[in-house]
Amino acid sequence: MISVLIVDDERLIRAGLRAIVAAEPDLEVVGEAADGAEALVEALRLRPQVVLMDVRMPRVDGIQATRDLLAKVPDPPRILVVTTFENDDYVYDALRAGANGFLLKRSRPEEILQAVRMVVQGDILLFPAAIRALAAEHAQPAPERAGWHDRLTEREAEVLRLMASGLSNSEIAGSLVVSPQTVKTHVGNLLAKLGARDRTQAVIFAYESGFIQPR
Amino acid sequence: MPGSPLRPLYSGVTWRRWAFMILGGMVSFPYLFMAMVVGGTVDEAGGSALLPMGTFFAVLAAGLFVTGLMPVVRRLECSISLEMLGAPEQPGQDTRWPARLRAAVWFTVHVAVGGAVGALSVLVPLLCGWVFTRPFAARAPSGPKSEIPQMSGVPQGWEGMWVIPLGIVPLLVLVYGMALLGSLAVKGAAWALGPSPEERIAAAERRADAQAERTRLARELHDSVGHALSIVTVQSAAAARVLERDTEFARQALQAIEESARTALEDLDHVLGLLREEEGGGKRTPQRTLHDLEDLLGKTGLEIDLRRTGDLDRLPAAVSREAYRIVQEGLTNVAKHAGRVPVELRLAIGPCGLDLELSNPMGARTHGGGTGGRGLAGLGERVHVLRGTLSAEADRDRWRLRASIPIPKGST
Repeated sequence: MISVLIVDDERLIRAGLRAIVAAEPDLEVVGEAADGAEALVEALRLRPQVVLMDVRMPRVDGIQATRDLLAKVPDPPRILVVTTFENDDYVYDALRAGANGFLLKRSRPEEILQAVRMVVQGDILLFPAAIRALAAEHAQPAPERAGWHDRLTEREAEVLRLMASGLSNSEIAGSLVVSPQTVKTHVGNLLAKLGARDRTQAVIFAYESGFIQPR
Repeated sequence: MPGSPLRPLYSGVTWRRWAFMILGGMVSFPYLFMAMVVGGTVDEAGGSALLPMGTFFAVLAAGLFVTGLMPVVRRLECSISLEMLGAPEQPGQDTRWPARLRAAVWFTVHVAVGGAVGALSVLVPLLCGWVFTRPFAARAPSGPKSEIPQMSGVPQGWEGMWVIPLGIVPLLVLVYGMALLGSLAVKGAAWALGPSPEERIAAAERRADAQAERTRLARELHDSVGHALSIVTVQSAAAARVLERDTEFARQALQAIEESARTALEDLDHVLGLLREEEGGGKRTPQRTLHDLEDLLGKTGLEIDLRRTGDLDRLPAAVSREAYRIVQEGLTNVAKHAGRVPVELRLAIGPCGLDLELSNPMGARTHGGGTGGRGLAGLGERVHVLRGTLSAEADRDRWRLRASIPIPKGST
């Protein structure tokens, strides 16, 4: 069972997402929160595996709530940012802050459910094309990270590129003709070298440093 | 000037500008008489031989300049210039001294140059006519004492024909001179009668403000419609999934979808209406004024107590239109926020302007938020343009919308 916490200031959105998620046998909605402050309280209390997090909320917004959850909840949940508009700088900021992926409110129910399941597995980047588009629109060149990929081995750099294009660990293994376990080690090493929390953050850093061109 | 170099000769523009200058010249006659009389008196007293011309022109210029300071003269110059020169594109409204001084300089120059142009317009053709006739003119019968001046060296008959092209030269100089002067006049009119730099800045700021307001409206519309459609998407997706197991949820979801879609449509309607109004799309329907008030009040279905003092016809159309819009927006807000409550509407039309007050008991829901505030912001801006004030606030247990718009002097 995957436990899910739903955070949105609009009651009707919460109710709709709850109905969609709760109808699945392998998913369970453990709670709801109407803003970022409540989200932290509920996450600490219920310890969900996944949080569906609205970005624009009164008082504490989704970006701050993402930071709070990642900093204050031991073994923090996976965070999926849920947004009305695709091209939203709030979403990009939330991803930079450490959210694991994002979902559009207009996504089909199957996509929403698939995203929840995938984000728990954590070995694939969600919606790589959308993240590239966001990076193209919002990424500021980060000179402090210029050249940081020199620290990566050639193999690790290759893995990072394949990650950014949305390949899972096993797909990367197939593409490089190595064992999935080797890929996993590469991913772990490159995340540590980049100081990234997860694949999403690593890919965003790769775009911002100019290692991969988002355009 | 683009096009053929002959263009000034046949272009109506040249002749219209020429007429503009001659019109100024015609105004000069009373001033000429005054300058002669006053100048003459001063000269007799002063008794200097050099003085006559100097005093004459000083008195002439002073008389013109003082006249030019009068606002009515500036308005007249403005409309004549606009009609005949096509400038200034925007008449200046600034009534402070620098603007009045510019107008006075303009009037003085217009009349003075116009006088000279008028004189030349008569004399140059006469001169040409005289030159043309030289080859055919009979020699004066009585030699050197003749009254008719002679051009020495011009032979009689066919041998003297070469003076005819020579005679055209002054005419051409006159016409091209007038074309040049005319284009100078267009630039001068824009400088002297057009908006002052302050006015230009204020107008640019107003345009920028209006643009910012439109952008804000569009952004808010985007957000609110996006929000509503998100609800519609999520709720309908959820309802479809649980339809068989949880009919109660599905029923509520349908209701929520209906409500959200309706709110979004209302918002669309309202904001697009505002944007269209600002674009001057009022052409689509005739602009309503306070004369159409009864009609409006009848349509609302609200209980309205209207008391009016003063004559509606005293109000300029712009004020009356704006007042109608204020009442319309005010009543819409009452219906939206307070529901079906009795409304009091007071209209007082005095010699100085219009005072309007719309008040209603406050309902369970409060004013200010939501779309009501947006509509009022637009009204506030337009009332401000009319130099009026608009306020909307809670006063104990009543909500009061007040507007006061002055009637510009001289417009009734």
